[in-house]
Amino acid sequence: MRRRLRLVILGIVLALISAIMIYPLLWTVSTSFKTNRELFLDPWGLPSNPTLENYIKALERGNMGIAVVNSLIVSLSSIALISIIAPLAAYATSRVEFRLRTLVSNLLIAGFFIAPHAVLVPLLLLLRDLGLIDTHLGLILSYVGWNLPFAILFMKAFFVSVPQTIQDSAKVDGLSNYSIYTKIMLPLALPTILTVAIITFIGVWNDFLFAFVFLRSPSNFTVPINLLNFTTGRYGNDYVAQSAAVIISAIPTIVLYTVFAEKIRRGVSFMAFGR
Amino acid sequence: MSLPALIFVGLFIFYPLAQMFYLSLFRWNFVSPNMVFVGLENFRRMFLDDPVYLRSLLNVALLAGQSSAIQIPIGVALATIILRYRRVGRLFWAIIFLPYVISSVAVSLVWTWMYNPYFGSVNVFLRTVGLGFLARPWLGDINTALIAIFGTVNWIYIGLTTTMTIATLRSIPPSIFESARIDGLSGFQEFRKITLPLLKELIVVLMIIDISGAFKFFDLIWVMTQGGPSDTTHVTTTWLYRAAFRSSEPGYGAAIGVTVFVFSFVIVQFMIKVVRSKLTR
Repeated sequence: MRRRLRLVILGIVLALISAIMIYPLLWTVSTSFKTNRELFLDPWGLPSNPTLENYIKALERGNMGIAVVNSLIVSLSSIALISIIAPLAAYATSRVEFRLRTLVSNLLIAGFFIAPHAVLVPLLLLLRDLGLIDTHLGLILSYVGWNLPFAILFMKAFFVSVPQTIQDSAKVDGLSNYSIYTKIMLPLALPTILTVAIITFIGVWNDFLFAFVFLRSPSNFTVPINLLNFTTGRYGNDYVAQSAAVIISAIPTIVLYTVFAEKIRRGVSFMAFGR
Repeated sequence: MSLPALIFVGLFIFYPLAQMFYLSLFRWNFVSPNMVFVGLENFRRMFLDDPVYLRSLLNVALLAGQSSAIQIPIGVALATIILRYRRVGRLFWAIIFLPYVISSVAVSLVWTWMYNPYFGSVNVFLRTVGLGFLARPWLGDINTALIAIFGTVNWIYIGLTTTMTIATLRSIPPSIFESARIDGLSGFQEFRKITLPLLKELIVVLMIIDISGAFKFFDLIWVMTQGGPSDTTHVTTTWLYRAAFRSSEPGYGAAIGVTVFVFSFVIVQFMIKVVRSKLTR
């Protein structure tokens, strides 16, 4: 009896917490199908005449359509570069003997502990000197630089876990470090590379800071900065269209999360133990 | 083989880091050809003449402190529940982690609407249950803005704390729990005797994450309040942005950056070293 009562109370608590967690998102979905008049008259009511008008407005006049394309270009380019560079560096610093290996390894990882916010000013000056302000290339290169430390840290944990005997027997067969990497290690590492790519994609897709400081023209805006721009500009009071823009911005990462929940949580919890 | 990575990290992390220290010694306005060397003047001004900067440090401390105090106990409790009731737990876990994968700008906008004085759900709820006198513009009220922000922060990060705790608990072999159950330990005893000691290291790690996280805080505050009302909700990074890019004082911004680097990186490294040596003793 007491056990039953405890379970009921526990159930109520969990349901309550779930409600608090999910409610703001459901409210936004509901609002995105309303009119502004409905929003103010009945903020809790469901849309009486659900319409896609807000979504069309957000995509076209709100520039969200262009922003989604920009974000895809920037995110996919960043993860492509990271997926090539990070495993190579992680393999080298965990499995190849060379002078200053520990120093190189530490240098590659140190950035994980540094707040990019601290160097905003010099980073902007660097991009200015390179002529890359307000360009996707400048944004992509910065994302690669600042996301490499985590990617390398995560990949190193994988390479360390590969049995040494595999490497040794390959050496006996006369393979060079480079062919060991491309022929043996890389195929083994593919699932881990996928995890890194997904986590980095979500991070870059959602990043606001760099885009906010480096981009100038709306035609180059990525999703988060365009979202903010939409809420402060001419459509500042058009809350229902903004709600639609918020939902558009969240769809790709929510889809990724639904498909790769386990990988994402594992990669994210690694941040707690990676150090 | 690690050369490409070294070039990226060197150019985009270490070179700007070095230049940050250099720039912090100058007064400049981004465009003028001559930068004025002022020594440590920027730092003097920061600590003696800039109450908003000091307030931002206090806010960062409050942010880190409340994150640890609220998220760690709740996260540990939720993790234990999720692992004990696996079937319901899976769905529950999926729900509470969801806000973390959505962009902070989107989440901040949603919560700005939750706190909206007219149609915001918080006020609508208070009026519905007869507590209408408590309704207020939460983000515009100097007494509640920071608390409202903290509420959103906890809403975003509770799933992350829970997830990290679950990962730690999963690293414990299940046989320990089985033998505890055979010995007749209740759920609470099991938690206190087995789980809690193993969680000690995790709790320290989570606190370190909360501290360094508080220094990396920017998006949420910029979107929700821009540091207002009356500059009471600034964190160090939003104040850095304002100084460097809105007031066009890159030298001063770089100097604030130096303190962000020192406080977050150096203190956290120190904590990791000290804590690690203590735990592996």
